[in-house]
Amino acid sequence: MVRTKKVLNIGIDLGTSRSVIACDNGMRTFVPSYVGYPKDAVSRKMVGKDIVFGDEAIRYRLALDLYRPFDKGQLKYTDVGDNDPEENAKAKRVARELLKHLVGLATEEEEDMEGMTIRGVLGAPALASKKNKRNLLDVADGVLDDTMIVSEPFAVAYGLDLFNSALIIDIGAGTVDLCRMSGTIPTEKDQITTLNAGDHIDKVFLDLIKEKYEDVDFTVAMIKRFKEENAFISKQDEKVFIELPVRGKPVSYDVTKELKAACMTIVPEIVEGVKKLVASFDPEFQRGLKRNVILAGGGSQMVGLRKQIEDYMKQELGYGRVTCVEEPLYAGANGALKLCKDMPDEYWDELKSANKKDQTRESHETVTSIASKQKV
Amino acid sequence: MKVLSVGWNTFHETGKYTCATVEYAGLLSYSMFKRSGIRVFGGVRKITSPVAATVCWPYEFIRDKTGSIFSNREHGEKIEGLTKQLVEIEKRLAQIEKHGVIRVTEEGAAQMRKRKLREDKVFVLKGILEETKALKTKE
Repeated sequence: MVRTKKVLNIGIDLGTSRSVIACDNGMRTFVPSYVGYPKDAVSRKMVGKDIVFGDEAIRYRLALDLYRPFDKGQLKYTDVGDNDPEENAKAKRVARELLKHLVGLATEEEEDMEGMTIRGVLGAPALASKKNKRNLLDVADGVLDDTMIVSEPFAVAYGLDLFNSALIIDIGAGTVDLCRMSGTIPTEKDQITTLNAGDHIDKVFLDLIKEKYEDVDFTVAMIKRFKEENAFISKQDEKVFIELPVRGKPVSYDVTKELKAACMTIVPEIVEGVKKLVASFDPEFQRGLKRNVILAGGGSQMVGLRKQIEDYMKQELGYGRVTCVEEPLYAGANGALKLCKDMPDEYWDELKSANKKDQTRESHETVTSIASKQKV
Repeated sequence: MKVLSVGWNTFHETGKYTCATVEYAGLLSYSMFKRSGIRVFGGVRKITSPVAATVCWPYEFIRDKTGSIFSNREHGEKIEGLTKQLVEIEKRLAQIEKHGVIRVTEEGAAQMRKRKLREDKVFVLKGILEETKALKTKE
C-alpha cells in the first residue's frame, strides 16, 4: 500500500563550525553554529529578536551572549573530563534551538504543514561516544518526529554510493574523521577520529601571527574568515597578505609562511591515520582502498591538501589516489538525506514503536518506584 | 601653527603639500571642464533637437504606416512565448543555484521511496536502525 501521508526528509550535519541541512523539498543551506541571546533590553531592541543564529549572531556578537554548542565535533561538556551536567544541559538547549532554526528554514516554504512527518538523519563524529550520540538524539527529540543517527564519514560514503574499498576523510572544524568502507557498517576498527582540525589551524595561525606581529589587534573570527578564504599548503609563489588593525589603523601583513605552517599542522595526523587504516586492511584489498581515498568536509577545500596526501601515500604506501568530493560542505548532509530517503517506512515505524515501548516501560518503572516508596 | 621639522621630515611634508596642490589643481580644472561642457552641451541640444524632430518626422510616419506589412503577428507571439519560457527557465536555474536540488513532486518522491533497494543497502540500513534503537533504549 502506498502511503499518502506527507513526509519531509532531512539530512543534518550539526558541525562545530557550521550546521548543514539538505532536504528532499529542495531546500539546502548551512548556518554557522552560533546562537546568540540579547544581553539586555537595549540589545533586544536593537536585534529585534529573542534569539539570533548564524551570521546574524556573529554580526551582533557584542550585544549578545554568544554560544557555540558544539566543540570537537560533539555537544559541549559531554565527556568525562569536562562533564558538567548544568553546562551540558545548557549546550543541549542551545543546540536544540539551532536545530529548530534549521528545521524552520527547511519548512518555511511549505504551504501545508498539517499532518507532515519530519524525519531526520543526524551525522555524528566517527568515534563519538554513546553518550554523545544519545545527547544528539535528545537534542532532536521534539524537533524532529523521527531521528536516526549515523557516523558522518559513513554518511559521506553512503551519499557517494561507496560501500566497498574506500577511505573517507571528513575534515571539519572540530574533528577529522577517517572511515574505511569494507562493504559493511564500519566498526571502531574501521574509524579514526583526530582532534586537530580546522579550529586547531585557527589556533596555531593566531599564535604565529601574535608571535610575529606583537602590536596587531585581532579576533579569532577575523583569523577564521581569512583562513577559510586563503588556506593552502601547496608551493605557491603568490604571497598572502592579511589586513589587521594596529592601534585602529589597518596595516597589511605578509602571513604566507604562518598560514602554510598552520595548515600543515593537521596533515601528519591525517596521513598517519590513512597509513594505519590501509596497513590494517586485508592485504588483497589494500590497493583498492589506496585508489579510493575521498576528501570531504570544509577543511578539504584547502589548496594542495589532496596532492600532499597523495604524495605522502606514494612515498609511504607505494601508491595513492585522492579525490575531493564535488560539494565538500554538503557531502555529509547530502549522504544523510539519501540515507533518510532510502530508509524503508517499516524501519521508521519499528523505531517509533520501540520508542513508545521504551516510554511505556519508563513510565511503568516510575509508577512502581513511587508506589514502592509510598509503601515504605 | 605647526612648525616643520628639519631634514627628512621637511622634505617629506613638502612632498605631501606638493602632491595635495597638484591633486587640488587637477580637481579644479576637471570641475571647470565639466561645468563648461554641460553648459555648451545644453545649448547645442536646445538648438538641434527641434531641427532633428522636424527632419525625422516624415521617416517616422513612413515606418509607422509600413511597419505592419513586414512584421508577422504569429512571429511576434512566438517570440513572446519564447521570452516567457526563457524567464521561466531563468527562474528555475536560480532555484537550482540557490538550493542545488531540483524540486521533486510528492508522487515522484513516493515513487523514489518505493524503489527497490539493493540487498547490501538494506543490510546497512537495518544496522543503522538497530544502532539507533540501542541508543534510544536507556540503560
